[in-house]
Amino acid sequence: MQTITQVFAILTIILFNVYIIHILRKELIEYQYALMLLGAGLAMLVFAAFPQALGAISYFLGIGVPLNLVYFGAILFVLALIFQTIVALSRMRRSIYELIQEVSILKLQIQKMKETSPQEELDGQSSERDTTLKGNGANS
Amino acid sequence: MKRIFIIPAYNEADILPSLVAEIIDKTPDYDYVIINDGSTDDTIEVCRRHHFNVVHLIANLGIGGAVQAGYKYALENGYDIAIQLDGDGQHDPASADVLTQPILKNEADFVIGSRFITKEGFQTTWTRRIGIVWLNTVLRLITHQRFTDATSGLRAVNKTVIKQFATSYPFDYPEPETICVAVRKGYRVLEAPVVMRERTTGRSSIRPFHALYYLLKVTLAILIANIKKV
Repeated sequence: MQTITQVFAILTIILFNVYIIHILRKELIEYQYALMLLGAGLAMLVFAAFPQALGAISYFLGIGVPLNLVYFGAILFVLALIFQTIVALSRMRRSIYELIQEVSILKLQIQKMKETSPQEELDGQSSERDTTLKGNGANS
Repeated sequence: MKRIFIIPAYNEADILPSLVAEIIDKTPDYDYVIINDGSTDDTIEVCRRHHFNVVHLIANLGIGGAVQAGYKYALENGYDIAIQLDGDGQHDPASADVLTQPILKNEADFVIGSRFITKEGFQTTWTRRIGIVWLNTVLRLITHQRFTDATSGLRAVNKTVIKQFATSYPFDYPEPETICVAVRKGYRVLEAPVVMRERTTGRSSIRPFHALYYLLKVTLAILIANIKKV
């Protein structure tokens, strides 16, 4: 590899790592995701500094062209990232659903409390009184 | 015994007043709660005008999320039996007694209303029946129990199952999956004959375009439900 190419690669990777640390400092990213990116950044840095290592590993794994190892690693990494994102997204969806359900039920309960309590006369939001709500506790 | 209808409704403003009137008329000793699943029509205004008991979900969650909100409501308010009833008028509130009988007699925890036992009333289109037969078969292979109307959204559950569904309920196309989960949990699941009507307004949550995805998703969900931790 030409020295200028190597320097360019190393600088780009350092910039990448610095940026990750920067958004970590600003609390724009969770540590669990930052760690993965930083790990990738570190690996890239090692291979950029010592390209021979890439050749050695490729040889060891029986991969003829070292670049193919890079592609293989990169694709695996991207798949892992996507996987992590989907898991986080699914978990978030669950929490949001939970939140929407609880808040909506609470709103109905607050509305019912307002209707039955004389207190609400004071807060000036008593214009819509529903006194004939069926459906809750009307029977045994 | 406190009993409640859980009525998920998305853009069913036209039908809700007559449905609630029917409930009050036919089943006066049942409460009800409508779950307005973020409707975009005038459902909110209609409900306010008629003073319905309704939870307005602050965003659209789809059928699973809406129904689960109903189970949470039933759990919080101490109901012993909950009956799911679609807000589109397909289900007759009068079916409630047939569905709750096995629960009251302590013969079942979960009773599904099947339109294919007596084969009366609206029997849905043949394309849908193919899908239903497929899901019945998958369920039968997995649970070793015979079901005739796996996708039926007309069902009654006791307090144990209310609690279970309030805690965990599938997001989309939940009906067949919940049967599998219930059987695996060791609940006694039965079917009872009901008569369904053809929907007069609105449209099914299962649109033709999504039919294949629906079948794939539900089949996978049943298979996974059979091996997941319950």
